[in-house]
Amino acid sequence: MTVEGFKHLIDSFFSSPSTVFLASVALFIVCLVFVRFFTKPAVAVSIAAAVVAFFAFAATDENFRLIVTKPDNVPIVGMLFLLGFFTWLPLRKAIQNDDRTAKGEPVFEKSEKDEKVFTWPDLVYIELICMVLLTLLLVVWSIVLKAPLEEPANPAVAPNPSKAPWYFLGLQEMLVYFDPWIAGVFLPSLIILGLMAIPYIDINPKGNGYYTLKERPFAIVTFLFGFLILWIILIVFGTFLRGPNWNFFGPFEYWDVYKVEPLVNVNLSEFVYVKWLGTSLPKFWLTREIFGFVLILGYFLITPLLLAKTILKNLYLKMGLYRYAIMIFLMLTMLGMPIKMVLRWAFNLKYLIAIPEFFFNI
Amino acid sequence: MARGGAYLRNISKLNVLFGVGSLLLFAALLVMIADDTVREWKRYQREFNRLEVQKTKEQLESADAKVDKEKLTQLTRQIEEAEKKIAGQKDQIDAVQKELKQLEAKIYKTNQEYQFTRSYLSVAKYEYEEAVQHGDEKEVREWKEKLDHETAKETQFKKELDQLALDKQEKEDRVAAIQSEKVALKEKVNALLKGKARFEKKLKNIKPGFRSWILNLPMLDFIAPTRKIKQVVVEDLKEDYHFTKVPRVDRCMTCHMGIDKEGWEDVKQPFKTHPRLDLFVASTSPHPMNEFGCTVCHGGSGQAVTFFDTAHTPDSEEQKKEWEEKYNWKPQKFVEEKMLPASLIESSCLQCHNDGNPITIKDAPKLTKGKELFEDRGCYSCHAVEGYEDFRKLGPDLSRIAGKTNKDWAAKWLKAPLAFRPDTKMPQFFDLSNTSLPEDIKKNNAEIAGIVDYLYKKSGDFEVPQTYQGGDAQKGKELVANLGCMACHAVEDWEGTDFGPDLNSIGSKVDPSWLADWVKNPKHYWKETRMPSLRISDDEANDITAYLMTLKNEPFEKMAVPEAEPAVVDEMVYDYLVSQHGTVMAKQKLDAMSEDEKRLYLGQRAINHYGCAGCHNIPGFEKAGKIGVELTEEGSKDPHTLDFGNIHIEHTRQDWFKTKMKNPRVFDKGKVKGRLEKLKMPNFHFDDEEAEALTVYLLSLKKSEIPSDMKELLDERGKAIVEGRRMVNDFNCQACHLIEGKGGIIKETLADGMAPPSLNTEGAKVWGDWLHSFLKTPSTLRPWLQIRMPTYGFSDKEATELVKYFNAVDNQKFTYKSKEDQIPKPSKEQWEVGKQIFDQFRCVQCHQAENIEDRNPLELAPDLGLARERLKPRWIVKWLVDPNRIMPGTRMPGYWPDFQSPLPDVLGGSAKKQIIAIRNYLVNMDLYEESKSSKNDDKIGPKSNFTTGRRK
Repeated sequence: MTVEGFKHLIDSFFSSPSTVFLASVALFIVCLVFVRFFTKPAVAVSIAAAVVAFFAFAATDENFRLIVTKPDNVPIVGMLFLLGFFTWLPLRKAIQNDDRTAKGEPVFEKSEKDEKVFTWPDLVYIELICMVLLTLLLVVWSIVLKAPLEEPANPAVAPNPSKAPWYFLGLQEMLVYFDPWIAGVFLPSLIILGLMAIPYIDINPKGNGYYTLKERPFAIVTFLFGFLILWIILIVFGTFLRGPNWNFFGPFEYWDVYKVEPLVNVNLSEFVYVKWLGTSLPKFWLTREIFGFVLILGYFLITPLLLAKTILKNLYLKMGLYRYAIMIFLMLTMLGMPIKMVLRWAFNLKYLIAIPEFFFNI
Repeated sequence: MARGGAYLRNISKLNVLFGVGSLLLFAALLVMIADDTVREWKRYQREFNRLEVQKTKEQLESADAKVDKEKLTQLTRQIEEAEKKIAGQKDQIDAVQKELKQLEAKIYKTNQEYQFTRSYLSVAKYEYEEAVQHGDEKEVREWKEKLDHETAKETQFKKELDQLALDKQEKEDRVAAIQSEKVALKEKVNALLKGKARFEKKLKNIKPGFRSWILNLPMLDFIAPTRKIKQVVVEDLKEDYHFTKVPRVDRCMTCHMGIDKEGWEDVKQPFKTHPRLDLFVASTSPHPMNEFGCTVCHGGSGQAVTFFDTAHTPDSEEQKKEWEEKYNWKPQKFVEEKMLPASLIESSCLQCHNDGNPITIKDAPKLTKGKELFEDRGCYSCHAVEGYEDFRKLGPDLSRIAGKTNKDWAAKWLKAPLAFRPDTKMPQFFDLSNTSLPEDIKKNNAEIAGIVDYLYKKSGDFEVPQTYQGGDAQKGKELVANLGCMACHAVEDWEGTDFGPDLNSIGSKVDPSWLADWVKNPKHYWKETRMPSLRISDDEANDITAYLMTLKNEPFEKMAVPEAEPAVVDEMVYDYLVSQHGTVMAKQKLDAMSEDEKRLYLGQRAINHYGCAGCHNIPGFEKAGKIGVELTEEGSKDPHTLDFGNIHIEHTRQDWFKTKMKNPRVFDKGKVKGRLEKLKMPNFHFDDEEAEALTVYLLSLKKSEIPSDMKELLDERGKAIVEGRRMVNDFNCQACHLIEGKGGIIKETLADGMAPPSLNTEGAKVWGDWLHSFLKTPSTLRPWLQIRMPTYGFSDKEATELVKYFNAVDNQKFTYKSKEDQIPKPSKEQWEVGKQIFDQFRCVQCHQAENIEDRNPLELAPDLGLARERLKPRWIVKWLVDPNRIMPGTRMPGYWPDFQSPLPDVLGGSAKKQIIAIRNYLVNMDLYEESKSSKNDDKIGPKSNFTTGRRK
């Protein structure tokens, strides 16, 4: 296969957010299922080497280089590697600890607990050295990668693409699927509130002070899904794959300002009334959007009940009504994001509830 | 755990890590300082300093070479001698100087005491005043004593000081007297070395040395470096940051260090002198750097100090390549208003000089040309632009076209205007780059046929007073050559003008009866035409027609007439109908139409689509609007809003404009578009130079951010000149006449002495009322000329504007004083002297109106009988003094060369008195004439010699 052919293949795989997102989810599941295999140092190092090799190869491409070497984006590339490492490290330790527990041995952290070291030099000296080396890194970085002043902001001409700071690109990606008040206000607030609520929801006493996967599978999987898939992957989307007009581009594709994507999204009400019932849309908004309301309310009210009766029965019993209610609300909201994305990709669904009269759309 | 080996980590390894880390950090800090210190502009300043030192050294050497060495040696020797003399009196000088030193010490001490006393005195004054206002008697008395005491002391010290000063002066004088000879000599030496000293001083200032090295060291260079960023802050010309406006800060001169200095014309950039110091940058120019900065004209980022950040724009492909190699140039994305390339810089002038004042923008030839082209080719017909609202329609009236030419001609003309007339102003609408596929050409032909059908169907009847009966083509040819037709029209070999249409193909176009009528009275067919009447008789008209009908364009006549295929007409009519009625209605309407109706409809829609009515008067389109984009602020349009299509050029306004001008349809290349979506601007076939001139003009059409007091506003005179020039251009006056030093091309087609007069100083020369009536109804002034001043049919307003123009050009002040009062009245004696001189010089020999048939036209001049009515007395004087200065090459002799009179006996030989006398006679010829005994002012008028008939 030629180099161009390979690049083309990659580009066509990366050509839509749905493939990339769903593939990431699949990969996420595979990694968790075969976590024992993937955390072996040899495997992890091989994967890291493969990713580095891919970057090295890809850097020969002008379009890829243009995006990756942009001074703003360099730290994000670095972050991806750091993230890989810091996901691998605790998982590896957790597996080892789980093995020890299975054999009836104490966890690593337990054995370390009794040892004591000197503040100087074992702590402070190391900190000093870290300070020196990190200062060195920052100084060199600031010399090599300049941060230029751009043009004065012009209200008549927005930069294309207009991108948020990299740490907000996940939020910006949500704007594709949700109205600003959800993607920009409601969901971010809920993320903060949800994180604050964790200590009160989490009543699992295990895993304090040591790494373990077996004893806290639910908490770890939920966190990793929320962080890696719903936050980091969306930042990667926003940084590397979203180009002019917020269109989706393959990593080797030229960011053509004139690229056009079809605009064919429809609302749920249009599906129901026009497509299935064959009538025109009702004039009154409540009649028109009633199915959306039923769906949303059902999602948040019926689903918890069903889950509490079936697969989450044990959890429900352990947590009690209030904890369960809060937890399940947060969970469903979190899952609402990928669900809406899939609905959009699969059915071109624009909004479940669309009431432009009140600027209220979900 | 004990020390030594008992730590968790290996301390010696940590030490190494710490040591290496610290050294690297130190190195990084050094690199940081270096990175901060090494700046592009410093390199240029160092280089400039080197060049300046070198230059100053050269100047110093040449100044040194100019010094009179011999004299210098002599002076030096004299000084030595004088010094010897002084040495003889050394004891004396030493003694005086010793005394002086003591004296100075004493002065110092006394002065100090004096100052202290004054200080106490101030206190005493204040306390005494306070005591008088608020204190008791005792206090008043005490302070009064104190005040008196201090006052006395002060007076005493002052006296002493004055005396000491006198003593000192006396001693100094004594020393000076001994040294006076030497001092005088030294002054002479200084005078001799004055030129050199200037450069020595300069060299000392700019030459790098230890001091400047220290001052420019990193971390010390914040104090007073010799290399530093230079800038001007222009308060009045703000920079728009969209949310706020800030004073403009331009630092260009940080690198362009020779920009305001003469003598740097031949060095390399960035040190070159500004090419127009007379106009810009220099403090004596109208645009000094301190008041205007640089970027208000040049664009670019004024605050930046690197080649890249300032957003330099290359002027050509070669320069771009050169810059790419030399400076690693690439387009600067972050500056919105990038620098203008040098060749387009004139587009900045209009932002202040936007009153359309051609006087001040005469130094902007490209801009002027662009503006002229814009007006000449009728860009305003389709594109609305502020200031062009009341411009006339450019093309001929088509409301009665059936009387002028035939349908076949019209169709072929629409298809290929250039094939008929290579220099026509009519642009090409069809068969262009986006409509040249075979199916497009079929559609083009259908539209052409439709347009012609429409025009002829709607054409009104045109009745000529008499049909053309034939004439003498040879005579006609002479008439065309002599009457002045060639001032505006190119005919046969004559290509000196393109003002009116080239007549070389006219025989293939028009109906002869129409032509005969047109030649006689152009306004009969087209009311607004600029073609004037030359007062042509019926016979002359027939002869001219006979001649013009012989000028044929054979290849054009043989061209196939574009035919419309019915199927294509159907398709296009359907397309047009759909755009208005939707598909179903369109189908119904189409089916209901006859073939004729379809073509008529297609023609009407095509005329509307292409905006023909912008230039032509077409029945049914009396209220048609402009079809193009408004261009009033085109020059500040964001390049993102311009569609560059698949054309790979720089995404800048200027590149887009230039490319568009050369081929208006080019941006459709490679695009899938329906017929009606395609770009429709016609092709004007502009060459590179014209495209560039238009680009300059388009760039100049922008929102002006200049405060009104910085703009140039026209006064009455300026306005009159602007308005007049527009008329002069509109009526092509300069084809025949020299006006403001320009024009008179018609001369090339005429025999010597047969050319129309120069109008230099016309405003100073003739009376406004006379000019006004002449313009409205021209009379014959120079009966020997065959060429005729046309009758333009000026309105009173137009004639007034032209008179105002001529007066403004010659800076004539308006006065309410009547003409009669302005004409001087001589005494009888003076009058008689005038007449005597008049006869003596035999003025009438040339200045006469009769018996001119066999005379050499070069020896003929206007009838002086008109002088009173026509000429301003003041001008006559100037003219008589030196005719050649007013009209170079005139045959009128100057009788008073260098103010020397050839008539020493008349009026004491005074040239001035003689000139006044003859002038006064000229404007009062009949005043004391014996046949006219009446002295009534009202009846005075130079009628006796006034023989010219109105209209020849």
